[in-house]
Amino acid sequence: MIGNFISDIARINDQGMKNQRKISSGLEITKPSDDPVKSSRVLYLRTKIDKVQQFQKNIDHLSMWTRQTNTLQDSMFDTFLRTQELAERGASQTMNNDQRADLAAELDSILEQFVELSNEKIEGYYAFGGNYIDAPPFVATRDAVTNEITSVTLDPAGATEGISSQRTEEVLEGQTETVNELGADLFKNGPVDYFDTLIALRDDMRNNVNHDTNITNVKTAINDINANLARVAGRHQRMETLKFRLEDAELDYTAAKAGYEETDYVKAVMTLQRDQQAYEATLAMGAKIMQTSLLDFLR
Amino acid sequence: MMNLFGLMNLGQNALSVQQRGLEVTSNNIANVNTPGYSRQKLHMVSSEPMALGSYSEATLAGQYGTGVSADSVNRIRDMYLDNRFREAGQDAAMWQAQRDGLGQVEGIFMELGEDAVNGQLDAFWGSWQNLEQDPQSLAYRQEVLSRGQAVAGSLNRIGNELDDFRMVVQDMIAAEIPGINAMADRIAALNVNIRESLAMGNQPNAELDERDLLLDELSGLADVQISHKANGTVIVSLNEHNLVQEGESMHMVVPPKGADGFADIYWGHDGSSVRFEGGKLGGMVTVRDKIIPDYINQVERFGDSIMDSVNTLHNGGLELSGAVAGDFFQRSASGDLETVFNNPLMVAAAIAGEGRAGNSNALAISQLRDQMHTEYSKIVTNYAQEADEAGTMATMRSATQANLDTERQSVSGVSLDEEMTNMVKYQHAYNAAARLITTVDEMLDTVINRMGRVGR
Repeated sequence: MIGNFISDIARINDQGMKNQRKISSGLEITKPSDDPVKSSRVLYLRTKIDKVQQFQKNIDHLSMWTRQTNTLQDSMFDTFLRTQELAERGASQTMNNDQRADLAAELDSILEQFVELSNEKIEGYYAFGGNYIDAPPFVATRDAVTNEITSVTLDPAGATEGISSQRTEEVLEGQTETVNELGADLFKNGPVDYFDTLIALRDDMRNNVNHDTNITNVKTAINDINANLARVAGRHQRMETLKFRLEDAELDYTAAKAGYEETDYVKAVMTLQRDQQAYEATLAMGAKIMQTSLLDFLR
Repeated sequence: MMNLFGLMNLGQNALSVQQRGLEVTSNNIANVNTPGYSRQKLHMVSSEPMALGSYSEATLAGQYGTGVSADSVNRIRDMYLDNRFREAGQDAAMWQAQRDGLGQVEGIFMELGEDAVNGQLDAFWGSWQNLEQDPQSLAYRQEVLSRGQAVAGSLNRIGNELDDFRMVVQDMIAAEIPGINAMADRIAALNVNIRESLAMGNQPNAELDERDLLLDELSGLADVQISHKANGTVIVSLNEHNLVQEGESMHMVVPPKGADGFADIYWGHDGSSVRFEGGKLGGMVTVRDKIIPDYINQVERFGDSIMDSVNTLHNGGLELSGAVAGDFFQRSASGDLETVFNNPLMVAAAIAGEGRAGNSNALAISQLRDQMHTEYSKIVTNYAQEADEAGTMATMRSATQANLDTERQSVSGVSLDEEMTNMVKYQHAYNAAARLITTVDEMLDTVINRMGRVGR
C-alpha cells in the first residue's frame, strides 16, 4: 500500500512538473517527441511563414522597381509632350528657317536627354538594359564633324548575353512577376522607333522638310509611352493588393502555429489546480492510512 | 499414558515452539523494509502421536498427541509471480533504454530550436530569394555562402555527435559487464550453498532471498532464461550459453577497443560474441547497432540529397564574372559536407544565356525549399514517433511490472498488522503453555511432596 502511495505521489509530481514547464515556458511542446504530429505541423508552418515573409520582401523590391521605372517613363512622357509641342510649332507656316533652326537645336538636346533616360540605372542595373550590366545598352553613333547623334542602337543589337533577358521574382507560390522592362521592346520594337522618330524630326526641322509623318509618329510614341506606363503602374497595383493577401496569410499561419505551439493558459492553470488538489488529497489520505496500524489497538 | 514429566515436556516443547514462532515473527518485523525479503512462516506440525492401547490400557481407542514440533521455517514466495515480474521488468528496461537513447538522438538534432537544421534551411533558401532580388549584391552573395556553410556545418555536427554517442553507448554496455560477471559468480556460490543446505534438510531462506534479488536485477539487465532444478539450484542462461549452472559461472569479456572504437564482447569460455536481445542491455544494443546508425544514414542521405539538388541547378549556371559555374556543395575527404568555394562572386545566380546579372538560378534554387523541407521533416517525425512509442511501451510495461510487484508484495511482503496478530497469537500460546507447566508443577508438587503423608 505504501509502495502504491509512493508511486502515485511520484506520478502526480511528474504531471505537475510537466504542467509547470508548459506554463513557465509558454510552449505546449518543447521537443518533437512531446507530440510528433503537432511538431511536424509546427515545422511546416514555420517554413510557410518564412516563405510568405520572403514573398512580401520580394514585392517590396518589385514595387521599388515599378515606381522608379514609372518615374522614368513619366520623364519620357514629358519629353515627348514637349517634342510634340515643338513639332507642331515648327509645322506652322509662320515659322522661318532661323526659328526652325532654333527648334531643331532644342530637339537635339531633347534627343540627348532621351538617350540618357534610356540608359538610366536603377539599383546598379540599367533600367532598360535587361541583364546586361557592362555598358550602357543604348549607344549613339555620332557625326564626325558636328558630334550630333545620327542613330541610336541597342548595342550590340542584342548579341550580348542578357540584354534581352528579364529578371523575375517569386511573389506567390509558383507565381513570378517581372522586374525590369526591356528597352528594345519599349523604344525600338514598338509601333515606332522612338530614337529614329526624334532624329528624323530634328533633321527634317533643320532642313525645313515637311514632317507631318514625324508628328504622327510622335503622337504614336506618346500613346505608346502612356500605354506602357499604365501597364507598369498596373503591375505595381497588383503587387500592392497581393501584399495585403500575403499579410493576411502570414497572420493566419502565425495564429495556426501559435495554436499548436503555445500553451493554452486557461487549460494549463486549471490542470495545475486539479493536480494540486489531487496531490493534497493523496497526501492527506496517505497520512491517515499510514499512521493507523494494529499497534494503536493492542494493549 | 504419559507421565507427568512427559506432560511437562510437552509444555516445555510448546513453550519453545511458540518462542520459535515469536522469533520468526520478530525476524519478519525486523526485515519489513529489507528489499527482496520474503516473509517467513513457521511450519508447525503435531509431534508423532502415541498409539493408545498399550499393555496397560487395552480398551481405549485413539491416539495420544505428544505436542507440537517446529517442522520448518518456510519463506512465502510465488515463483510464478516472480517469473512474470521479471519478464515485465525485462521489457520495461529494454524499452526504457531505447527511449533514453532516442531522447539523446532528439537532443542532438535540437529541434524545435530556432537554430536547428529546419531554421537554417529556411534561412538558406531565404538567402537565395534575397539574391534573386539583386544578383550583383556582394552582401547577398556572401549570405548565400554563409547560410550554405551553416547548413552543411549543422548536418556534419549531427552526424559527428551521433557517432560520438554511439561510442558512449558502447562504453555504457561494456561498463555493465563486470557487474554481470560478479552477479553470476555470486549466484553460483549461492547455488552451492543452497544445494548443500537443502540436501541437509535445511531451509536457506536468506540465501534464497538473496539469489532471487540477484535474479531480479539480472533479468532487468539482459534477456536471461531462468530455470529451477530439483536440487534447488537455478540455471541462468543467455542465448544458449549457461551464465550460471550449479556452482559454475561463465564470464563475459570486454576486449580492448578496436580501430573503429568498438569492442565486441565475447564469452570467455568459447570466444563467441555475446548477443543481447532483451533487457536494458538489449535495448542499448538496439540503440547502438540499429537506431543510431539508422539516423546517421538518414542524415547522410539528406545531405547528399541537398547537395545533389543544389548542384544540379548550380552547375552550368553563371558566376558573376560570367564564367560557367561548377558545384556548390561537395563532400570533403572525411565525408563532411562543405561548400566548394569561399568566394561569393562564384555563386551562380544566373543561368546560362541570360547574362551574368541574371537571377533565374537563384529563383530556381530558392524553390527547392518545399521539397527539402518535406525530406528533412520526415527524419524529425521519425525519431519523434519512435521516441514517443518507446516511451509509451516503457511506461506500460513499467506499470505492469509495478502491479506485479504489488501482487508479489501481497504474497511475500511483510504486513505489520499480520505480524502483530501473529505476535499476539504466539504470546497467548506461550502464556497458556507456561500456565500448563505451572499446573504440572503443582501436580508434581502434590505428587512428590504431598502424597503419602497421611496423617502428617
